[in-house]
Amino acid sequence: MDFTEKEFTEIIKDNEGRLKHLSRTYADRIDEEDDIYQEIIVQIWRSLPSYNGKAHIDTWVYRLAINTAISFARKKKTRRNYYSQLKKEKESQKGRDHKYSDSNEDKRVITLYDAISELNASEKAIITMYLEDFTYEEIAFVTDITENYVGVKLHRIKNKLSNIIKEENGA
Amino acid sequence: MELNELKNVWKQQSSNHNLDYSQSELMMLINNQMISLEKEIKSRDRIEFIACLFLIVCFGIILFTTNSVWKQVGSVTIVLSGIFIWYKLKYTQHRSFDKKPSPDRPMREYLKLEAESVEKQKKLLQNIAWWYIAPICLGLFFFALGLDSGFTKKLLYMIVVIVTGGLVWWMNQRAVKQKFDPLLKEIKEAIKFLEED
Repeated sequence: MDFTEKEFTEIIKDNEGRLKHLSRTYADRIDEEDDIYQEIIVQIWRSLPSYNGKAHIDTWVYRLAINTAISFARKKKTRRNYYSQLKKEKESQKGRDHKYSDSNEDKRVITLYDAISELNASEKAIITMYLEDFTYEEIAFVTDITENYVGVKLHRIKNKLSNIIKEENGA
Repeated sequence: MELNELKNVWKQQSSNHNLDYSQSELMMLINNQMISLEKEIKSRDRIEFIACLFLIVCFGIILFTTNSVWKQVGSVTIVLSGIFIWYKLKYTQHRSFDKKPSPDRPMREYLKLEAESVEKQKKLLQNIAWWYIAPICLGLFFFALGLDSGFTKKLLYMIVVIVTGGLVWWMNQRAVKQKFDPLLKEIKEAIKFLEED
């Protein structure tokens, strides 16, 4: 399918909020959020000609965005530095000088992102789609699992998140 | 925070206004990224080509100017190694890794392709002793045999070659352990989560 620049911009605007949240979910640092978001935009532009209309455009865009965010990890040049630094951050963190800290942001949002960061790439994808009000059918389309399994997986992820949040609140 | 609060909390988060782009800004971003990617690939290709060319020219000159048979054998070995390494990098590594799967595929399929790609990169580094270090070290050994110096100096030279080769090998294995193994583990965990009952 052919898309004009205007149509492309509209697609980005319509999905802006979700894509920003997704970038934040998969970023390990604040400075990566911008890089992931920009990479997603470029991938959407490059892949739009292959959109075949089988799924709703927003669902298709989200699937592409998730894969792009996952792929971003592979390209990280300083992965070795990241692991040793992250370990130091986690071990020494007491005052919650968190990577997403923003004095105006609800602490519960930070806690939620903190908890989500403990999940694996698939768990992140499913829970963010749930939080963004995607249907089970749409989640199944993105992840390539059946709708029944989406429910099962979501249940497990919610329990895992609940335990992580309880641990963090208790810490 | 209770589970039923999750959605409310999610929806309350503030927007990152640094990422608000107008149409013209979006198109500029895309053009810049495409140009930057093209430059990165060309630069990487250029560096590898120059390194190979340097080896070929230096040892090519020695090949035709030396009377020592060992130096000639060493030079030929190094020139051929340089060509082989350049070929290996350009046509094997780059063709595999730069041919990324389209990100609009289903996530499970995409994760499997990502895992495959990382495995290939890992294997390339794990086997570096055979396709990178050994050919060059062999060439340098032959070259050393033809040097106009005593046995001790030749031995010292060979020890330096072995130690350097060993260091390069060790650094690449470390990269495998610190970079590729954790990444592969993450990807496989994500795949397992989708596939387990």
